[in-house]
Amino acid sequence: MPRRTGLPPKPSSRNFPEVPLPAGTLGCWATGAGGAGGLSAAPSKPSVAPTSCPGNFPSRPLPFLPPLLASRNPCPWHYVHLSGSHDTFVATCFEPKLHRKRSGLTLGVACTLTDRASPAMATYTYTSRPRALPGRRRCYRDDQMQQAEEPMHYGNIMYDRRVIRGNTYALQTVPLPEQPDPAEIQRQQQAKRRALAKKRAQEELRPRTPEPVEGRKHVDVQTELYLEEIADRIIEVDMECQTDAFLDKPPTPLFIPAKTGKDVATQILEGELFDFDLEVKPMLEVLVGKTIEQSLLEVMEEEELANLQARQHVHEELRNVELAEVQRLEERERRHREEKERRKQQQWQVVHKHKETAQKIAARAFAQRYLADLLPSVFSSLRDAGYFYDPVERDIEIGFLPWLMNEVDKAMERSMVGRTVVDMLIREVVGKRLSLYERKEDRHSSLKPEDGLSGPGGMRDPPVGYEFQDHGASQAQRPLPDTDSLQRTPYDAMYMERVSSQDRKLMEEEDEQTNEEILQE
Amino acid sequence: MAHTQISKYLPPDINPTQAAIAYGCRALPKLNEELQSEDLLTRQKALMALYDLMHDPEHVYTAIRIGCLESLKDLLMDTNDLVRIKTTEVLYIMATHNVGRDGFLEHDVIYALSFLLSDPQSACRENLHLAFKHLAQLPAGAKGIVNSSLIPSLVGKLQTEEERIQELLLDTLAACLMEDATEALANRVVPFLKEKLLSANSNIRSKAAQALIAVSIPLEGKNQVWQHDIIPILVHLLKDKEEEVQASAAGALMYVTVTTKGKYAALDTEAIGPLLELLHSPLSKARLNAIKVLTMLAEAPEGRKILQSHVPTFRALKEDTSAAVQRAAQIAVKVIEWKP
Repeated sequence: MPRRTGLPPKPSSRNFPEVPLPAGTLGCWATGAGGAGGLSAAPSKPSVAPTSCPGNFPSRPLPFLPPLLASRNPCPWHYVHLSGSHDTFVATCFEPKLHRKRSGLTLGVACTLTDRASPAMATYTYTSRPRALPGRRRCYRDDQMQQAEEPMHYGNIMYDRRVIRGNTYALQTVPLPEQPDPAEIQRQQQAKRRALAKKRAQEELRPRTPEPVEGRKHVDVQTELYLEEIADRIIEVDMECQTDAFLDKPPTPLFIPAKTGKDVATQILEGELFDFDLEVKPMLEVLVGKTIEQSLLEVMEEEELANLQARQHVHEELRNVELAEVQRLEERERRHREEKERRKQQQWQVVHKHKETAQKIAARAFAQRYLADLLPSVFSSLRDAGYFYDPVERDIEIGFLPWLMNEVDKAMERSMVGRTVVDMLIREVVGKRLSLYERKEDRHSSLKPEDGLSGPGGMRDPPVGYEFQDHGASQAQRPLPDTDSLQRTPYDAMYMERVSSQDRKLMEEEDEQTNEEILQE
Repeated sequence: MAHTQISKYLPPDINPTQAAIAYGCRALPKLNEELQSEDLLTRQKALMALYDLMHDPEHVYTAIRIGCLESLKDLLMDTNDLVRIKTTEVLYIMATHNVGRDGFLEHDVIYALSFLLSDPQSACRENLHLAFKHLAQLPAGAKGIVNSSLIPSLVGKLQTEEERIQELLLDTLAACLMEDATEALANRVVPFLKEKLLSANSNIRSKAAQALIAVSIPLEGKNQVWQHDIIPILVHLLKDKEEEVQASAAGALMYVTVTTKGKYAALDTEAIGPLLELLHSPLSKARLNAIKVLTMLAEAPEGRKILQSHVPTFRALKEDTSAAVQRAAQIAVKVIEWKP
């Protein structure tokens, strides 16, 4: 494994301790890239490939490792982001790593940044930083072994006896040392002590600088050309390195099978794969077709509409005309009908009038005729009714005769009255006589009253008591005629009737007179 | 040279304004879902895509079947202007198809559309009125518009809208009034139409005259027209430069002169002269209407007297190209020569 050491170039822009330029070229030994390239770029540029820490030159102070900078080196493992704030780097020194034993080295070399640099920028973060194990220490520390006594070396693994070399399949397997016997342990310890003692002795024998004179002190001084800063603190620089995982294997070459068969060549000329016209044709057809279809539809629609309109107009014309004709005819009919009605009316009226006049004439004629002999008949009927009279005659009738009759009546009345008086007298007399006779007859009680006498007597009594007027008179007179008619001679009857009638009349007249008197009263 | 590899990037979006239309029968359902999405951009893109698709009647049918109309109705209420404009455009395209019209009537789209009558965007209103106009071409559609009591608002809009939209309104109204004119008459449509007859725009004049034709079909309309003294204007329009206007004016007169009052009003304004000239017009509609008006006027004794001298013209017209004109001419001759 090539080991490269070298000092990093001096980045001038950084606050950086001066580091001597390495003699050799820097570079990532892992990728082998860019060390020279990076350096051969402007040396002022901080394209620094962090070096691997070789740990194997304990005799020679290793140069400082520069802090890791943003490397232009495409090496992926040495690429560490650094921010601009990383100006303050502390130079690390891998001095302490020198103290380690050679053999106790871990795989590869890990370089780490100081913690001063931002830990986030480190590739790895640790809870405990890796460090090379000290070599030759026991796993189990039974004794209190002073570690300072033993030379603690960390060594290169390559030169570590514990690592098996060679093929492992024919290894003489060393039986694992079990717990060694205490004797063995003693012996080994003895050997060690002896070795130590020997070494100490040798140390003492070694020439040393003499002791300082009193009052003086030995001081270590650097006498080289370039002073070296010796710091208390060990400059540590973390370096990392990682192998390219797959670097070992080069890329497999392309498998190109052996050529078999015939060689045939072909070439695609311009326009063979794609002919614009051909390709465009169907699309164009569709586009144009659709447009034309649509427009055809619209045009046809309009045409249809126009046709329809035209037909409709024609039809409407005809319809209008027909309708007008119909209306005209209707109107005409109406007018004619109305005319007819009117004429009929007129005619009817005329006829009516005619009839009326005829009737009137007839009526008049008839009336005339009827009334023609009205007058004589009227006169005759009137005359019959006695409306035409002779005044003298009338006068005689109305005036004279009633008077005459009155006078006659009076005369008769007088005679009647006379007769009545006479009758009364007679009756009275007769009555008295009768009473006398009755008294006598009572004594005798055998005499029958004569009808004829009683008759007149009876007749006379009422007139005596003519206060009793009608009733009595009539009663007396009624049986009188009856009896008289039966028994008397017709002459007497007649006479009696006459007398009675005259009496009646007289009575009536008396009544009348009394009435008149009452009335006059 | 381009690579033969398939690129791992999606093909570039050639039209970022449109949503991607899915293939085949998935196109419309996917668009329908996108229409209902919360994101404004998605909705807009879906609407643009839908607009393109709706020119195909089959798509219209499918769209209606899957219920696109409901989503479109919701979108009509959207706050974004572009969305509304596009929605109305889509609806207008759908209305040009019969399937769409039927769908409109079934799904009550008219009612939803009516909210947009006063929309601030003029493009929106224009599309709206285009949709109505197409809807009104169908008798059932016209009935639907009338039934949803839109006529008063439409008549009102006639006053306030721009010219372009007025033309559309007049077309819609003409079609609706053919269906049922009573409501409009109650809303004073006749004075409005009278104003429009005097407008400067010849399109508006001719359309207003056509609307008048529709108005004067029912008796009430005839009376109103006579009341508002529109007949002199119509007679004046017979001498207009535009043939369409002339023809429409003649048509309106045709209906108005059915009543006796109308006849005498027309005769008073010397309508016969221009009408006789119109008989030689190249437009068959104009000739037809003129013949009809003259027929009406010939029923009045004064008219008959004047027209007796023009009978040969009518006889000549019996050899006209259009069958309707021949028939009309025959009837006219018969009427003129009628003796009571």
